[in-house]
Amino acid sequence: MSADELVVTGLGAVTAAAIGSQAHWDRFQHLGKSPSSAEDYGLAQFKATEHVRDRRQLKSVSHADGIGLSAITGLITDSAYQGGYYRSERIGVYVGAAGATVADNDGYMDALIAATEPNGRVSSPRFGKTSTTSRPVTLLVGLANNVLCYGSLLLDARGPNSNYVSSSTSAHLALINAAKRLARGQIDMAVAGGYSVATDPAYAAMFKKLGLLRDEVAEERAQDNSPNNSANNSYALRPFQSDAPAGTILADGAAFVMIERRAAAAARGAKVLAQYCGGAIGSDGLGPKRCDPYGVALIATITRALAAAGISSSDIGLVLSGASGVQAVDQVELRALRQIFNDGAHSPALAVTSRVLGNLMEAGGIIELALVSEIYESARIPESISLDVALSPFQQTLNRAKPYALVLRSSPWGEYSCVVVKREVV
Amino acid sequence: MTTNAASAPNQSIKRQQKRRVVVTGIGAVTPLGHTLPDTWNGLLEGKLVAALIKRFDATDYPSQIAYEVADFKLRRDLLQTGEEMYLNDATRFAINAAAEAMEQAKLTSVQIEPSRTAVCFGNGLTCPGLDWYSEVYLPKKFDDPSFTNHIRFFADQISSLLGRMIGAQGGVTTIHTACASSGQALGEAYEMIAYGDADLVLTGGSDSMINPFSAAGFALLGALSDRNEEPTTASRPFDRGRDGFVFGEGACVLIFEDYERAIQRGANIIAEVCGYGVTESAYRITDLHPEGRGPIEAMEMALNDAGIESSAVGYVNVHGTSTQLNDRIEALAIAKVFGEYSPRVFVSSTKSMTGHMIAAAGAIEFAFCVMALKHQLLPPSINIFEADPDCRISLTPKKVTAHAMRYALSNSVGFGGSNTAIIAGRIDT
Repeated sequence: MSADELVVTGLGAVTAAAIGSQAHWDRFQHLGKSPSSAEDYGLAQFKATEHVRDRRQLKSVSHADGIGLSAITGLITDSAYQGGYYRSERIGVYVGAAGATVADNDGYMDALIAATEPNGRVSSPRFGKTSTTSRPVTLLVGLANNVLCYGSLLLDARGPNSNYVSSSTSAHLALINAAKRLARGQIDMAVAGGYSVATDPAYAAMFKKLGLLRDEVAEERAQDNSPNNSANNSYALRPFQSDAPAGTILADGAAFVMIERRAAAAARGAKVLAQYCGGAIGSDGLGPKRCDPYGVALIATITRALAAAGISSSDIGLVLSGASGVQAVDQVELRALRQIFNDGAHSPALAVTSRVLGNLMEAGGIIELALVSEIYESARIPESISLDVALSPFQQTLNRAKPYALVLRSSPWGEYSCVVVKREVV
Repeated sequence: MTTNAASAPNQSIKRQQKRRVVVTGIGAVTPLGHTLPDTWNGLLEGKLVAALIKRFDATDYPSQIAYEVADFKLRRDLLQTGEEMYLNDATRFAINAAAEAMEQAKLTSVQIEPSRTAVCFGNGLTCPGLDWYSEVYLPKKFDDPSFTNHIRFFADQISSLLGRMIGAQGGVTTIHTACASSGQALGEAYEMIAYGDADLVLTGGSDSMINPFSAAGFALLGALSDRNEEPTTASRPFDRGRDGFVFGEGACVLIFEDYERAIQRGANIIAEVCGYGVTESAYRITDLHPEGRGPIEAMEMALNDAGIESSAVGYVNVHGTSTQLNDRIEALAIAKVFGEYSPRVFVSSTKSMTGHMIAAAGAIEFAFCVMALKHQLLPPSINIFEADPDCRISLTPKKVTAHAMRYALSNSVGFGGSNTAIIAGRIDT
C-alpha cells in the first residue's frame, strides 16, 4: 500500500431504495430476485428538510437539488469527516448535475397563468409585468450548479471544482476529474458524485418521445407472457434479458463519495470503502442519440481505464455494469465486455444495480464504488443485482483472488466512462 | 478544530510534467459579428450594437435591451439528417463557430486521431419559450407532436453535435457553472492536453438567455440594467453609474492542441495556453466574497500554474459585468493579486461591447486575450463616462492602443461561486 493511494472513504446516497451506505447494501441483500417496481424508482415525496444540515439552503433550490444536498450531508456523516481537517482551498467539490428542467420555471406559474390571454396563449408583455411579483429567487432555483455551491458551503470547500451536465457519465466525470486533481497534488480531498431529476414530467416525457423509455404496453405484455416467473412479474429494469421490455426507467436519486489519500484518511481514522485505481472517458463521436454498435470507443475507454489503473483485464473480478435497459446501448456494452474478457477462464462476475435503483442518470456509477468491498467480503453478488446473461463471458461466482472491479457507464448518446476500484480488505 | 498536518500541501506528490498547450483555431459568433475577424474588428472599433430586444416582445419587462446576434445564418451544410431537432439558438451559434475554428486549425479527418480527440464545452441553460408553456406544459399535453422539440433544450446536445463534427472519441464533456462555464471548460480542456489525456480538444462555450424567463429572473434579482432609453451605453463596466448587466449571446469555439503535435503537423499556432486556476468562493450563490477571495485564489493559482509573476501579465480581460458589486470586488481582487504592479497592468471588460454572453463569456473573452497578444493591441474600454474611484485599476484607453505584452489573463466568475482564471501566452514567430 502506498500513502498516496486514493481511497473512497464514505458514501452519501439517497435513492428510492434506501438512504445511506449501509442501508443500500442491506437493501440489495434482502430484496431477493424481484427487487422493485417502476413506481419504486421515484422520490417525488422525498423531504430534504429532514436530511440536510442547513435547511435555509432549501429556500432557493429545486427538489432534485434538495436530494443532492441530502446525499452530501449523509456523506459527511458516513465518512466521519470533521470540518477543518483539510484546508478549505485544498478541498474540491465535483458534481454531476442534471441540466435545467422546465419545472424549474414552476416558480412563475402564477405569473404565467395571470399572463394567459383568453385564447390560451401567454402574453409576453403581460408576463413581463406579472413576473415581477414572483419570488426574487425564482431564477436561482433553476441553476444547475446549486448542489456544487451549497455543497461547497457545507464543506467550506474553496478549491478546484466542476459541475458536469453530461447525462449518464456526469457522476463519473466528476469522480475521474476529482481523482486526477488529487493525484496531481492540486487538492487533498474531494467530494464527487451526482444527482438526477427523473421526476420532472417533461424530462420523462421527452425520453419517452425519443423511444428510450420503457413502454407500459410492453411491460404488460411481458407480465402476461410469463405469469409464473416472479422476475418477469416485476416492473423492474432487467438489462441484458432478452425477454425484458426494452427501454429504461428513470430514477431519482443522488450519490456522492469522499475521496482522499490513504495516509491522510488513516490519520483521521476514516474507514476505507475501496481504493480508487483509475478511470477514463470516451465517446463514439457520432452525435446525439447515436452509438456505435461495435463498441469501439467503449472498448478503448475500458482499455484506457485499465491502463490508468496499471492492471490488465485478467485482474478484474467483478464488473458493475451501467446497463439501463436501453437495448441498443446494453448490447454495445455487452459486446465490448465480451471483447475485453474474451478468455472465459479469466472472466469476471457481473452485477447491475439499475435493477434495484432504476436509471440514476447523472447520479449513476457511484453507489457501486461502496458496494465492491461488501460484495467481495460476502463472496457473493446479491440476487437483486445479479444477472445470468446468456452467451456472455461472465462467471456466476465471484473470484475473490481478483480484487479489482470495473464500474461502467454508457449512454444512448454514445458517451462512456469507466472507473476501476480495488476492494479493501477489512 | 485545529488544522491537521494533512492539510498542508502534500510534498510527496510529484509535480507531474506538463505538456505545452497551444491554440490553433478560433471561431466566434457574437453580437459584434458572425466570425472571429468581424468580432475582433468590431471590438477594436468600439462598436456598440445593444438595442431593444427583438427576439421576443419585451415591452413591460424591467429590462428591455440586449446585444443580439442579428441576421444569423446557420451553415446547414454542416448538419446531418435528423440533427435539426437538437438545435436551439446557442447550438446554432456553436456549430458555425466550431466550423470556423476547425477551418482555421486546418483540421482534416486524416490528421485527427479520434481516440485522442475530445470535446469539453461550457453550455448555458436555455429553455423553451412562452408558447411552449401555453401549448404543452400548462395543459400537460406532453403527447403533442411539438413536444419532440424539447430535446433541443437538453444541456449536452451541443457538445454531442460538436463531438460529431470533430469525430471525438476521447470523450465529450459538458460543463455548467453559470457565467464561469466556458472559462472552466477551457481550463479543463487545457489540463486534458497538458497532462496527456488528449492531444486535441475542441472547447469553448455558447449561450443565449435572451428569453422571457431569463429576462424576468435576472430582473427579479436586480442584476440587469434598466437603461432602456439608452441601450448602447447601458453596459458600462467600471463606470461609476453602472446599474447592471445587459444580455449578450453567441458562441466561441477554440481548438486546443498539444504543442509538439501542432508543430509536427504544421498548424498555425495562434497562442499558448499557459496556466489555469479554478476556485469556489463558498460564500453566497449570487455574491462574491467581499474581499474577493475566490477570484484572488483563482488568479494566483493560474499564475502559479503558468510559472510566471503577476508583473509578466500585460492585459487582464476581467469578468466585469457592469454590476456594482462584481466590478468593485473584482477590481479589489486585481489590486491584491497584482500588488504594486497593479497600476501598470491594463484591464478591460469587453462586455461593454458584447454584452454578457453568460456561459460563452469566458471563451470569447479568452479569445480576445489571444487576439490582443497576437496583434499586440489592447481592446478599448468603452462606456466609461466617469471611472468608478472605488475600482482602482488601470483601464485600457478608450481607443485601441498598441501595447507590447507577453501574457494576458482572462477572469470568469459565476453564480454559484465558481471562479476561473486562464492565462494566454504569446507565441514567438
